[in-house]
Amino acid sequence: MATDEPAMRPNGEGTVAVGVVLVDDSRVQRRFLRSALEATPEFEVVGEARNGREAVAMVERLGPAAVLMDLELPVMNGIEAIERIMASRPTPIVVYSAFVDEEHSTNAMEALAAGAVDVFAKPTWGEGGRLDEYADEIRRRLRVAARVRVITHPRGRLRAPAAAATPTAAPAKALPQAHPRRTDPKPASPRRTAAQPPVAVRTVTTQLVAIGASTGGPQALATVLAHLPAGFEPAVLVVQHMAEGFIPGLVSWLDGLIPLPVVQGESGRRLQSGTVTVAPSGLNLLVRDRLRVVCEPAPERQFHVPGIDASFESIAEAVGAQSVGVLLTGMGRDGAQGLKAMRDCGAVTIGQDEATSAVYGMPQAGHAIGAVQYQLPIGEVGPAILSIVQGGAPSCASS
Amino acid sequence: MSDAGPRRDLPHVDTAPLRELFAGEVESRLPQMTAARAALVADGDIEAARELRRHAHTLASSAAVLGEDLAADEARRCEADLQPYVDGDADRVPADAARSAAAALDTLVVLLAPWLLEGGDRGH
Repeated sequence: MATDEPAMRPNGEGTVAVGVVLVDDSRVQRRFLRSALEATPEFEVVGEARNGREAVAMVERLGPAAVLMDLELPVMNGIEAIERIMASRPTPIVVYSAFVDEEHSTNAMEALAAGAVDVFAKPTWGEGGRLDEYADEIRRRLRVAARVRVITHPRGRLRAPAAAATPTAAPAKALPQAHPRRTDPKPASPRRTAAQPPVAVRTVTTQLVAIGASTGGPQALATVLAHLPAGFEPAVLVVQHMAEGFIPGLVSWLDGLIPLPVVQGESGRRLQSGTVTVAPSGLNLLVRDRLRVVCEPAPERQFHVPGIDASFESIAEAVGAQSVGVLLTGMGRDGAQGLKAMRDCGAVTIGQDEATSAVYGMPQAGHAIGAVQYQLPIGEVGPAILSIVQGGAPSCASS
Repeated sequence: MSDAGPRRDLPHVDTAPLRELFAGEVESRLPQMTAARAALVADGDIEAARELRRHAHTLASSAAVLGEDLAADEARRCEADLQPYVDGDADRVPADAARSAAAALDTLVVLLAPWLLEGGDRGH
């Protein structure tokens, strides 16, 4: 019988080991992963499953702190296993995939949408040193994942926003002042952070909505962007921390899920009205005058590339008050300073709230320095953006 | 991630037990793949195509861990060739998919033969 507490066991070194369930049909992979994890006392492999069905049962029975799973599994595939686990026994799941090219990485995006917290590539090398580096990478990702707070995620729930994202459904929560004819008896009430004054009705035209996200971001992005209907006028920029090679998959996955077209950003092009542009891997995407895009290498010490701070700060300078900044779930602090720069230039800024964040790191950092004007549950971020763009402001029930 | 912590000496991954397991995997899966290929080529058996693809996927992952990059690449090619069978629309399977996958298996057999002959002891 599973307990409610995840498997964290004393390891004899004064700390507790993170209990992990491995899921792979290859004995070689499982053995490698076990040795990689148990090379340090901070992890303990509490179970090995050969297919998705075994994984679901094992997670239910053992209650591990994290799951490390291949996506391609016999009997029950990885996507279904993730959905079932997240519906019955929510557990941080890290997926590794052999496919990182544009054609196949949609699978990885589906894994994230199903509730996995991280996806990374399997190794394509074998010499000892690199294998050790790969082992280190696995430990690092599991270390982060085991700290992610996950919530019950009923099967198929992530697909719901897209299905509901019609132009008529989306503005249902828009502000009465922007749409006086609306008679929705119970409009949503995005929460304003208590310390901040209410925002007056905006008279400036919004040119650009910029959204930054990290851990848990793909699901959050899908939820937010599903509310923006076809015909949405401003350009939308997304900066999502993601392993090298997965951005094209994120682009195609989102493109199939939301009403607006989704493209990958390229240097020299302009951000297009009514189009979601996703920052490419390995470069900072900077916005210049007239929404011209410049993609350039990041400074050496910058940890996350593409950097949210870099994009947001460039937007503060180039677009200023005609922009909306949104900082979603993610570990660390990237985006906080950039969001503050945007707010200081007159942009409207939104941070995801703690209750709905997979990791309340970046939005918390933004909130702590006064960068977040409105702190909202993820389901209310999209409607709030619509309201702002349409000339209103999020309604101001205090949090 | 920002909390990766300071870089430490990496614990060494001992590949000896992995080689032994891989040899066993090759020994058990290659005959099954050959049988599945026969059913696929003879009858266009979709279940056989799916089985062949699964084995190819597993061998590809394992081969990559052991540094058998050519074998891993070939197994991935076989897997990719057979993906349309998994996607479920038999009418959209390219005409030469089975033939291409069958050829990839031939190459795979050649590349992995030393593991059958030497039980994985290849001087690593």
